[in-house]
Amino acid sequence: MTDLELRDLSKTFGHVTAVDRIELAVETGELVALLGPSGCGKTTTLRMIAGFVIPTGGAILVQGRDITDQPPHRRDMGMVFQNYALFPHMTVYRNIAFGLHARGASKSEIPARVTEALELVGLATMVERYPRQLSGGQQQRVAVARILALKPKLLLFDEPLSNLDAKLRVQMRHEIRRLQKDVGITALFVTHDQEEAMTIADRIAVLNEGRIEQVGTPAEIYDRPRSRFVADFIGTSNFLDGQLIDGRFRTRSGIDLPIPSAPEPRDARVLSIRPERIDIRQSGKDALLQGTIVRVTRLGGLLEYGIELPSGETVVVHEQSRPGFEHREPGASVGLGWRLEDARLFNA
Amino acid sequence: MILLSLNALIMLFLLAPIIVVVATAFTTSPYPVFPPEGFTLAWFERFLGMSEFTDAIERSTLLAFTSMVVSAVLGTFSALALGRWKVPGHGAISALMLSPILFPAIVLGLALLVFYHRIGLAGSFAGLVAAHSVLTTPFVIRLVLASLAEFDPAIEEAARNLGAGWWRTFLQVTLPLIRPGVLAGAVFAFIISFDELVITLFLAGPGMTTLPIRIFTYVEYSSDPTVSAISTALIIAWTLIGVPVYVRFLSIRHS
Repeated sequence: MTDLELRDLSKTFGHVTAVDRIELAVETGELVALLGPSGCGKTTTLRMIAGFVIPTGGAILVQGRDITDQPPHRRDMGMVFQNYALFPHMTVYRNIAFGLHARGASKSEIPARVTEALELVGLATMVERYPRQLSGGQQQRVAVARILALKPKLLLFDEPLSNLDAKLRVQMRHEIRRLQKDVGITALFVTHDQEEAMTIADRIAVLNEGRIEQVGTPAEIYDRPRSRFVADFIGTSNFLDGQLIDGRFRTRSGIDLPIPSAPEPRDARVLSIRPERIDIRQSGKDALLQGTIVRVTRLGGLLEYGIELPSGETVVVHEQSRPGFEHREPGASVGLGWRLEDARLFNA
Repeated sequence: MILLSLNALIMLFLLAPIIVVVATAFTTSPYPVFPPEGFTLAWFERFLGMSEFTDAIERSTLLAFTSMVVSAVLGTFSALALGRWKVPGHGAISALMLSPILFPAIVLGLALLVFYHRIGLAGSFAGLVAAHSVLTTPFVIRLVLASLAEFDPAIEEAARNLGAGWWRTFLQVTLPLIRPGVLAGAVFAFIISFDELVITLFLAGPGMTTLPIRIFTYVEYSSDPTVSAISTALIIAWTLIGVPVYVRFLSIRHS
């Protein structure tokens, strides 16, 4: 079943189009990440779904019902804000009870539901604290408990982890993911952090300049990016400019590269290949490209080579390093190769 | 050390007039002298016996209280509109709302007098409340705007998201958070209204004489220390009522 559907959703501010005819369907129990750089319209989209921004076009449907014109407090969604937005003048207990009162829960069931929500996030002993007496991570949990207590139809997360330190952020990712799967509530998660989106989401919608560039599972997005923007924004990619000539891709410097048969798109102008999909070979006949190593950087368990092509373009290659592994030295001439299906073609 | 003595000097300069007024209230001489001669409570007795003064105090208190309530309500909602909603012409409205502070009171007084005669508000209590509120509301707006700027609007959005309508959000979330601004604005409004003289002189009809007007006319003809006694009484009253309120509600972060 489709829990949330965005149809042709648009928002313009004056002459600026923040969200441009977005189409998205989120299935029951799914966690979908809206991923994109700042200003791509992801937060505006989330705020339209929550009812804080009025769309200039299109419709929002929750479980098949059009809620585009409903005020925020009638929408039955729980939102976790970037700064948590806890009520500073209320204790943890009252923060969580607030929504239950507002939605007319009976007085007798409120204490039990508050306790239940706090137990879910492991903060049952903090009921009488004020938000300022809690750490950032604890405030985050209270914000999550506050919406879980309401058992809403939809969870909305607006960059909820961006104010936490790196370690805690990674830990909270898994925790949010676990909670969302446990309670089984459909969720939308806005983030600009591609790693976060990759770890937390069932599917990712990549946004750029108000449009959806691609929707897919993390693996699909990573392995089969549909545009240069996606290939560049998710992970890293090498881009070689050129054009399709006689079923081969001719780079700017005139090197012909083999490509899969029936290449798409026909007017491709860029070939992209991920650094870890390139392997370094002896320079010679079976290499697709020749080059010279200009730098070697150690990235934890990875070695990153910068390899300069005769055309002056630099290709980045990643290689696993193991103890005893002899890395190549700058100045060495090497050949580069890859499986044909690992290269992607784009027309921009 | 130099800074400290400079500080003390400034404090002395600020407090000196008050000390002098309080001291002269107890003098036995028929006019205010400093240092006071002898000690008597006769001037207090005299002012408490003059109904023209006690009535004026009562009237001024009622006027200041009413103006305070009116401007606290108007000012709070105006500030909410200006600070939270994207009102078109926001800058112009904001400037207009704050302009009464910038106008010379005498101009405002004359303008209101002419205007009130046209609409039949001249010499009425309601007219005085309206005039004072015009003067005091900008202070409430300013202080509430400052309070609003201090907390994240997402907190109000969170309340809406949790199912609270506009009123519930206002009463349970916004109002408690802007309370320091509202109360500070109200205190300002009360004080400004209580000792407003210039505009009130234009507008107060018969039977509407406020304390500042009464004092003003009294010192034109008499020079006995009754006025010192009134001032002293007011200072004591303010210290007993105003200061505790101030400390309880307005001191910075009492948590």
